[in-house]
Amino acid sequence: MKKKMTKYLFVIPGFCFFAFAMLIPFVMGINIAFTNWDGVATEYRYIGLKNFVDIFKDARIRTPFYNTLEFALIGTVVSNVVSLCLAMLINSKFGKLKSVARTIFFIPVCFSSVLTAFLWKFLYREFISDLFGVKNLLGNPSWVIPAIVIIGVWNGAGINMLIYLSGLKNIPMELYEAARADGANVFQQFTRVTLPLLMPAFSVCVTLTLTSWLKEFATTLSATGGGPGGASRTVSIYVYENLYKYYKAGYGQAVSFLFSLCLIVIGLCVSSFFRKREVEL
Amino acid sequence: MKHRKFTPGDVVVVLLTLAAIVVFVIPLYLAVITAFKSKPELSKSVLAWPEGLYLENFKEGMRRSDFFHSLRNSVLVTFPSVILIVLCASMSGYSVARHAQKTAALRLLDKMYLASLMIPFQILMIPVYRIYKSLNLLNSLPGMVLMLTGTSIAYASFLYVGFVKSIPREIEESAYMDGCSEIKTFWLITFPLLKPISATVAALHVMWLWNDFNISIILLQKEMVRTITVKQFYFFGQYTAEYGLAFAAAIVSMIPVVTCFAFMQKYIVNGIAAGAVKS
Amino acid sequence: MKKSMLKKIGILMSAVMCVSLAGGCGKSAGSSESQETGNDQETNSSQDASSANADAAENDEEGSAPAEGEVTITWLNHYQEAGKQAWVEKCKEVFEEKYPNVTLNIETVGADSYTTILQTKLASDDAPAIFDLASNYDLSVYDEAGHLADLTGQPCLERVDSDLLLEGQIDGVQKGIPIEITGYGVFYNEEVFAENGVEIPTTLSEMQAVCETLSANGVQPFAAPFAEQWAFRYYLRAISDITCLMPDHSWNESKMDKTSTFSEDEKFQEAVETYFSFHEYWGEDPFGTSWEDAQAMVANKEAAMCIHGSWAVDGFLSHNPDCQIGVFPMPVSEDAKDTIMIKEPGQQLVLYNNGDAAQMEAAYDLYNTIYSEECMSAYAEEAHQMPSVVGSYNMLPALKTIVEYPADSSFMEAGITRTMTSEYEDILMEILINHSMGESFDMDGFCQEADAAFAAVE
Repeated sequence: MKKKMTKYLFVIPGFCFFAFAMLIPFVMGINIAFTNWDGVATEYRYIGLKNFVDIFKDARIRTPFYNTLEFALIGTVVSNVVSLCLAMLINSKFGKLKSVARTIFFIPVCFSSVLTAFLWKFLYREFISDLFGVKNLLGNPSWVIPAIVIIGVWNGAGINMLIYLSGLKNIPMELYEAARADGANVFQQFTRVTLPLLMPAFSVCVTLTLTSWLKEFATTLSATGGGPGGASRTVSIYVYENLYKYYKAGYGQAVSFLFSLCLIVIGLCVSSFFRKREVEL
Repeated sequence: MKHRKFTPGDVVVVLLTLAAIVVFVIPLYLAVITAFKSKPELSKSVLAWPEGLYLENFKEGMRRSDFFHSLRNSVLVTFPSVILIVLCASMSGYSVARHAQKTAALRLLDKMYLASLMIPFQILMIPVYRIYKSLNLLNSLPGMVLMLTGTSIAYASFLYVGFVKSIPREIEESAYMDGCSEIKTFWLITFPLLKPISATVAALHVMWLWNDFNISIILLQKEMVRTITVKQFYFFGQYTAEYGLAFAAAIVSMIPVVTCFAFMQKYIVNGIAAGAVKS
Repeated sequence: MKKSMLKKIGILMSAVMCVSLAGGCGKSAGSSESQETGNDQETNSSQDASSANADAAENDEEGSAPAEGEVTITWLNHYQEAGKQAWVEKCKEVFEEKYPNVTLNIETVGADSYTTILQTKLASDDAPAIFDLASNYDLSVYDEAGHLADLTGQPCLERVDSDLLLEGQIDGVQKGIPIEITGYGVFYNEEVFAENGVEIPTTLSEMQAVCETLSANGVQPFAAPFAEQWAFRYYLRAISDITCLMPDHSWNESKMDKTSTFSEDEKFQEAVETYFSFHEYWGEDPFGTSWEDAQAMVANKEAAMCIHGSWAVDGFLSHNPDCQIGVFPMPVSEDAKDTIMIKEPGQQLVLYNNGDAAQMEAAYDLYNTIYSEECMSAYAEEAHQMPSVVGSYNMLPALKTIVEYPADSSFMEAGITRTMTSEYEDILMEILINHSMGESFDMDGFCQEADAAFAAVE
């Protein structure tokens, strides 16, 4: 009986903070999606589902929508592959080198996305263009999204690297020894031991990178402002423009609300996919 | 041990690591040299080595960002929030990991936390500001701590859930046998075992909260309470930007967080692997 | 072992409490505005060491009761440039000296977050007393919501250039006053022109010839910052404002209310053609060039010209304090008479319509102080802008050229719809950018696409 209450007691402090900072404001903001508020007026009118109907009629939202999917797909794959590789490199046996490497891979996390974007704007224009003899990738509509993904991965790989690293540290060495005794090669050790036991790390990293790329906003806004010609505009940027630039706060809120719902569905599916495959020791 | 023969695999690993280091260092190098250049020098060449040790950026950057005062503000919002996050999130992550299978309410909470990660902060801004205005919490550092903690709990709990599962239940069960309550067991047995992930959560949140811009910009509007990160944006004007100053200020303000990370590393690395689980 | 663990947790917990309590000292009187005391150093250029500021914060907390008649008002702005900050400081100083019972609270935010914060504050009943808006369209939106105070009869109105006062009037009532005149045209590096022996062009073919000579001599004619849409638009606007907007002041409106189309607008198509006819002079990678890059290129003689607004002058100088920047209007035809300098009113300061009489009075006083010659000369000298208040100021040469450009060959875009609303403008510019990336321009395709996109907007 007592134990039954304890499990609730454990979540209460966190939940109180969460409710205050996110749940209540979110509920308070929902009604705006059903109004014609322009973001400035003191009064607004309820217009039912009109904003939501408009979303499907809005031809301009299509490009941001596809861009967002492209960001999510490329971003999630690249950022997880890179950070897993970094974590595995660091988890290998070279003493000095690895602690230097660990710090270096993590330092970019300290840069805010705005500073990072400016840094890479320099690099793309002055360095990478000379190195590969190409024009600034950020000015090229077909390359701008991968180029921004690279910026984001440099900025954030350290985060996932740490999570993968703590996952790798959690794998008992005995399992590798046992696998080696069974004659497994390095690749088999990776697929049979490392991957299954890294599932908790995967479920965290994949879900979170996926949704953070789906929400992509700050880096893109500072790097390209959504350009050139809208080629890197994401749904979040479009929402922001409606809220604060186009005087269409009601519509912006509706897009954002519907978009959050989609994200929630995607996020829950992905995380339950990985959670099911988690192994409990 | 001392003169172990290098296998070809080891050579590949070292080379790859070095290559990765180079890729990661180039932008860092650029950030550092930018901080040592005056604007005219920077506009002549971005990549060149600085002509001299131009320290004016650091001086001016620190003066204009009122460095020590805003540093104090940053410390006062970041560290209390991180401690709260680690304490609250480890508990709720633990509870969800251990009991969600049998408890619908916890499953719902887990899903709700996950769902909340998908919500862009822009749509919360006006309601949050209204709440803070009515509670008189605007421009207050504790108010900021409250907000930062509240918006981070979900992510941190999510991180904990997976890792609690990797800790064998038997360890806790033997503690129950000895008559420990669940609360006591958690703090005495489980929490210490969570050290690597706690260190990870702490390291990540120190970075994030230190660099938070979205929330601080609306809740902390007076110079008095502004954090160092917000002050850095003073160097980006409407039509022109002072990159040298911005990077100088950023580099100096990074020192505390990087030190903090270097300190945390030990725990991340020497956590569970050090043998706690195996025994 | 167990005990030490509990102890550690206990210490941790109490540390949290202590730090949060200590943080409490930083909490200032916040939104209860009248409680503010004068020891608040709200300036980021404050030289005080941190300890002094901390003390101020603590005194604040104890909050001595405000003296009778004391008022605090807030000025929300986005002036982050050092020069503009110096000017804001100057205004505060002059104002507080003149009105010792009023405390001016300055809140500076980033230009990117300015609108967001302004709207958030308004929606939460925490409006600043004074703030700025970019255009008459913004003004009308805020006015409709009842946020703006009437400025009719304020003494400062008499000091402002009367042409400029057309801007800021909503239905004939003065609700805002532009703080500056801006101009846009072709800004060029005078030394580059001299070294290559080229003169200021007055017709389109002369302009073409200038570009030709410069490229032949290995100088990039235009620095084209097309990576940033807001900077890109001047390359078309410098032409289309003269050929489309000047003869028809409601040109922008007619496009937005769809009473005319781009496909049938020959003048507009001509303007676009003229704009695109210079594409080979934009350099290798215009869409990869940011505004900062463009400034550096002109300042360091890598490029000769850039079509932009007058605030650019300060930017060029920050990249190379020794460069000589001049300005001339963009030629739009073979007739030199059509070469006209475009001037437009800059951002407007407005007052929040507050019910509190004492607050309102203080706000009006502040307004008149800002629009005084004393503060405006600081605006010209420190911030390097062209003040709207009539007077003789010590200005940068290029700015003087604009201000003193003869009235009969200037187009003052005051009191008309100068631009489309952000949404329409974004749509048009995006389509234009996408059509400008190739070697040739598909005019029909461009117009049809733009018409279709405009028709889809409500």
